Amino acid sequence: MTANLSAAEAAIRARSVERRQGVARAWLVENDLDALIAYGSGLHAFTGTNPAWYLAAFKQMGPHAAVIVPQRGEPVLIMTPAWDAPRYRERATMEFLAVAPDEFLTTLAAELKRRSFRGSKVAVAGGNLQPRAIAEAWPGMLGGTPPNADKLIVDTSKIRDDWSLNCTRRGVAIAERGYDNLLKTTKPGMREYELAANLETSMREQGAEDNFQLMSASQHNQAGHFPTDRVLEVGDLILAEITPAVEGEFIQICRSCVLGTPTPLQYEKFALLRGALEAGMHAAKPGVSVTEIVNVINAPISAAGYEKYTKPPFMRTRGHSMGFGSMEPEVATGYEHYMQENMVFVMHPNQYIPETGYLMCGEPVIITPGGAVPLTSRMGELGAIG
Amino acid sequence: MISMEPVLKRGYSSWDRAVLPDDEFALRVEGVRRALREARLGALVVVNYSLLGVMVDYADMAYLSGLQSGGALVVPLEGDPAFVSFGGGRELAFMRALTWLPIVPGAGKAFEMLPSELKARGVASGRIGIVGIAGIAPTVVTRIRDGLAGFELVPFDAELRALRAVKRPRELLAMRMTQGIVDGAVAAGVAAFAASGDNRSAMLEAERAARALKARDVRVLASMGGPELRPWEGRLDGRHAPLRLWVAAQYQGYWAEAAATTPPPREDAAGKAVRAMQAAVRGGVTAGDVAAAGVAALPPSAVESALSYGLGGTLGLAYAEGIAIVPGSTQQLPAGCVVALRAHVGDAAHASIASTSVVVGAGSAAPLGAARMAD
Repeated sequence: MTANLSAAEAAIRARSVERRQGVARAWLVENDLDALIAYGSGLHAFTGTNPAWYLAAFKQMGPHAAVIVPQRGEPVLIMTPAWDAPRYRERATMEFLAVAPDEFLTTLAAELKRRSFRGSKVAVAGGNLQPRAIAEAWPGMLGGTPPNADKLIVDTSKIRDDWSLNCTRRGVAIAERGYDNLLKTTKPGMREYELAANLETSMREQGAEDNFQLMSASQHNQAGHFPTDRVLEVGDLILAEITPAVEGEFIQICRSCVLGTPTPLQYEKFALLRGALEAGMHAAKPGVSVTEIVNVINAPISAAGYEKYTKPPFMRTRGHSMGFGSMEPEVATGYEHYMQENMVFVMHPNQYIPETGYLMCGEPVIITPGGAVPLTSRMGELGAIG
Repeated sequence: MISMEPVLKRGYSSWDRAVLPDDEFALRVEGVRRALREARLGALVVVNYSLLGVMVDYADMAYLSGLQSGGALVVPLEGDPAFVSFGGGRELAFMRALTWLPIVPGAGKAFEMLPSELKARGVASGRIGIVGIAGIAPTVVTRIRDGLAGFELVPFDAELRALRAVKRPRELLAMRMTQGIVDGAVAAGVAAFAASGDNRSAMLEAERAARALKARDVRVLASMGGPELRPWEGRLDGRHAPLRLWVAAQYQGYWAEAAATTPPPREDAAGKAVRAMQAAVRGGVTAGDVAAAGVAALPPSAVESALSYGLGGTLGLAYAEGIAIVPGSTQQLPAGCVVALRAHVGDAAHASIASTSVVVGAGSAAPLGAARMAD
């Protein structure tokens, strides 16, 4: 019926799910806890965390899902809605119960009771998109406020495993092909939303189940935004923040291109940002703080006279993680975070430059002992269309 | 219908001022002010706690501001309302192009700024209405309550939703335009399938058409050979007839849905159920009675499946505006609301899907119909 996972991918996924649950089990032993409930809302975004998605490696459709990982015994997935069961069944790595959304909490409670967990010994990772009704249900169900396991999931997921990297690399390839398609199909007279629709569906065609994008087309961009009905003109600088998802794993590339031939000034300013990005990547070794990386990225830009523009509202951040559906940590000052090997970020010195307008220049990277290595087949250049 | 929630909504985002001009929002604010006066409230604060842009329910905010963004809206009884943004930087210029209201940059302190914004509008204390805090995290509610410590906060969600439930003429036009988008999307999907395409092509072409017709958010589900409907997944394959295709989309904040079975089923179980429900709809009827009409028209073996997918409900600025068509419901459909009526039957003997949206009148219901999108 479907071939969404190849046999090789299914094996990688199963190993990673086992690893993730193994980490959770070790944590339960260490903390004398009986079980972990990893909850997920049906909101899928790289800005919000979904612990159930991480521990099941399954992108739910319904409003609620939870993985119960016991210290001893088999895990179980409780998912919604019931009619989505076939989609999980064909990639199941654990027992599961598929129920209607309004039966979710009672099913979960019954499963906890059936397994005779000690009420005060069940931890919850709810994620930051947990609805209030769910958050308020835990104390009643578990006999008190449960230990919070969000940090366990966040810390585990920061360091990418094989399945996470497999999905991420597929996403990167789709993003690059999507951008190539944009370069081939964009023409003067199109509207911004038509460009966005082309990009969207071309990536869907290549296997992305979702995509986030900011874009803008203007002779002088202020920033990226959602697509409008503005008509594209020769000389427009097109910004594209392209963020496809594969199996729920988002990854991002940031590109700039000109509808026509870029000016020498545009090349010069893009090169400034690209140089800043490369310096940041070189510095991003394990143990280095995000603040230090921000300083490295900003240094050449400030030296060129643009210090004022290295801060909001002329930019937002120098990059961010995309693991576990979360942008944390950001590559921004004020974050107490140090690089670790096998973390994945998008690093992007995207910002406004007064002579050219806003430029986007960003790569998905993986942290290695030698610095950040791009996951793309080629780093972004200032593109030319036509 | 439950569908896969996409990441931040990123389709066509211009404000169609020809459909929803500034004065439309001003008239809505006047309606809210009348309700506030009746409730002896000095102002209204609407909170849309959109966490880093994840839109959970933008309806209340969009009704009064046009914005689908996170922030807090201050509506005094007299004088200009204002939108206090959560952020303070890069996105403000674009947001200003999407609303008739002034935007006050909150820069991370939106809740703390609310008292001064209220005071600047002559409201320094007393009872004020509050909307949008019932479902959000307790820690955030505490911040809001702390920020508005000098005021008595009176929940006003039900009152605002009652106002939103009855659609204004321009809202109906926006919904008809959205209906045009989803009708076009379903037609494109059906055409792709008919042209020897597969179910995957149908889903892809439906989405392509919806986005090209200016949808901001698009949801597509289709049958892939089994009884169930599925969301888009990267490598779905094969041609599996009949195709059951469902599309929902949003334009200017307003939702509509459409569905089709192709080739058309010999025994249109879903279509019969939808027509039976449509015949039962009128102002004041309970959702339970409408559902009962639909269930009665379904083959017994199809009832469980149809109920699990849902028989529809009121829609507008939210895909689910609060009244679901479910057996036993005593909620009454108010005249002037729009309700989507839907049936999905998965079992092979009766496999079909159908949907129609109607405007509820006093004694009957009229099809919502589709309006043409301006070029």
